[in-house]
Amino acid sequence: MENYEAEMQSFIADQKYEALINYCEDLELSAAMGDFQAPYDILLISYLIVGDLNNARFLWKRIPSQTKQQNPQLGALWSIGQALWNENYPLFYASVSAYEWNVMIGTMVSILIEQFRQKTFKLLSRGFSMISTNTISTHLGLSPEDTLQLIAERGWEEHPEIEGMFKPKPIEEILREGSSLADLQSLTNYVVFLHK
Amino acid sequence: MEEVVNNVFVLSEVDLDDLKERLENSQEIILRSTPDQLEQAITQLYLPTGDYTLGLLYLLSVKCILEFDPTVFIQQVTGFISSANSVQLRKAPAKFRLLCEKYTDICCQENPIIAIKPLSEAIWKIGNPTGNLLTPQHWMLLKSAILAKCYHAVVPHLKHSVYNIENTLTNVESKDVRLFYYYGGIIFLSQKEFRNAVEFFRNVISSPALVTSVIMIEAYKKYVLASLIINSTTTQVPRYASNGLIRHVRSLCSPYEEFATSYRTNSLEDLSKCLENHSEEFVKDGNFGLAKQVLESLARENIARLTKTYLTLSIEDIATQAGLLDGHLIERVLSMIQKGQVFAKINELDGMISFHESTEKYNSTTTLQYLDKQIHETIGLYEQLTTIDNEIAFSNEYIHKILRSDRGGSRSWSGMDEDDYNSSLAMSMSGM
Repeated sequence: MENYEAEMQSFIADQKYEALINYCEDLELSAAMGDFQAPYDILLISYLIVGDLNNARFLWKRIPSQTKQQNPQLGALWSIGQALWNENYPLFYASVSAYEWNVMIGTMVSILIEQFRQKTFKLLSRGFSMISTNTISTHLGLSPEDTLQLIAERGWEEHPEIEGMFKPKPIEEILREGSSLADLQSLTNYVVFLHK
Repeated sequence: MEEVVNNVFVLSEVDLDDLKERLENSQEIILRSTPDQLEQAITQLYLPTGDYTLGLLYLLSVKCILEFDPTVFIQQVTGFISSANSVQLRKAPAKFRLLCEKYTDICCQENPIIAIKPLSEAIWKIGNPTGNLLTPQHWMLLKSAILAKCYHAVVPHLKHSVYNIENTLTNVESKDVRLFYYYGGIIFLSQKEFRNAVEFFRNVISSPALVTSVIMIEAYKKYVLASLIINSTTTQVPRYASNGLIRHVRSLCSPYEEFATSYRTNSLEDLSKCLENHSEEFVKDGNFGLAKQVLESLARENIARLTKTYLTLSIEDIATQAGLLDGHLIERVLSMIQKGQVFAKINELDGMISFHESTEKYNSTTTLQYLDKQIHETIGLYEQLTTIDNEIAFSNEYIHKILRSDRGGSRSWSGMDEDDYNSSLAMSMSGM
């Protein structure tokens, strides 16, 4: 079990969550016949981080009830999953701080919160032409003061007459134009193929 | 029993066909042996290198018919599959099929997730190295995954193109093909890949058949619901499907037909009523969750349709027009914006939502990569088709058929035949 933990730690350190998921899924299949515990909690939080709520839900359904009873952290992780599934922003921020996570899970939960905030912020800037501070606070789980600070940092304009209404600034996506040797190879292959 | 084991020891390296014949003849002896004798023989023959695969296969498959301890059986078969030798397995594919079926049944009763890895291995062992052979073990694997709720583990098997069948090698039957596509469709549904699911279900319902199978009826029900979710325009049985199916569908699947008609009215209220009326039938078929997803899909479609008519609309108007009364409209629209299902901007100040065109200019590296991948796949598909085409063109049956049709159906088997046959063959060879 110890070398599994080391493997998983290295995936987390490299932020390779898809690879971590593949690794844990494989472990789960092997654990069925073996005598070790499948890494349900790591797998569950990894699904949440990459946004695969579907498979997170199936994982929760197939965890044996005995394991769920013995491991209350799993239940707490699933509450986060449920909040995400129902797109209930206040509940999400409440459930991530409602439990004393162990060290490994705690790191991953912090990563999830940060990532979710960034994703939501992008969505808000894309989806609103005028937004109130209240809405921003609820969606980002920040206090009113922190919200105002964030808005000031990002340069959102306040509505000239009405207080508490802001105009989001759209985020510029940087287009990386890059062609490489691999692309040239592909193009050569196409030409050869078309000449057949 | 001793004799059987000895035969296995002696003949496994030397003559597998002879061994197989002897094993066929000794099945009575194996059946009549005591459980202890049987267990002892099994332990004697099990080797991690799989040298005695054929012998072990016969012993284990006889065990299937007798009373046995499930845990021991599961362990033995799991070990057997991982150590099995492909060459020996292919000598008795029917026995292997029976063994795997029993194994799947037992595992699904105990703990379905156990069967997933072994059955995956079994597919590679009995199939061919390129993995495009459909085996009976395919649907057994899918069934275990579904019962274990471990859907993601088998998606690679579905995406890998499986297009060949070899009855002699794998003992695959027509039922296996239908089950593969049916279970495969269910797995795609679980992963919310509705287009792939629709394609798989369509494969089931359009199987050539003289008698309609239950699998086809159930697949049709899911086909209708999944087609509605992707808002496809046709949910009818394809014209190339069997007549029997078309007739049976009318009598057995009427709730689904009504549901589809109700969807076309675009009225969320009507659809909900229809769902309530037929809820018992949907629950019985295990399709209630899917039907609810159809409801969701109609709500989304209604909102998306508004973008074609209006530039700006108030939140209350959207709610009334789309028939949504639950009051979480902002969240719903936000969610649709996130998933790229609609392009809009919400104005909280005056409660209006303005729709605009997609900002996608298709000039980024992501588009290029996507195009690249699609072209590669198309080239691969073309090459596969060319291979299959050539295989058929050079097969005996095809050449004979061409000859006969050239002759206009006359059946004179004179000496001219040989020359004609040879010249046809030569022609097809040079055509390459």
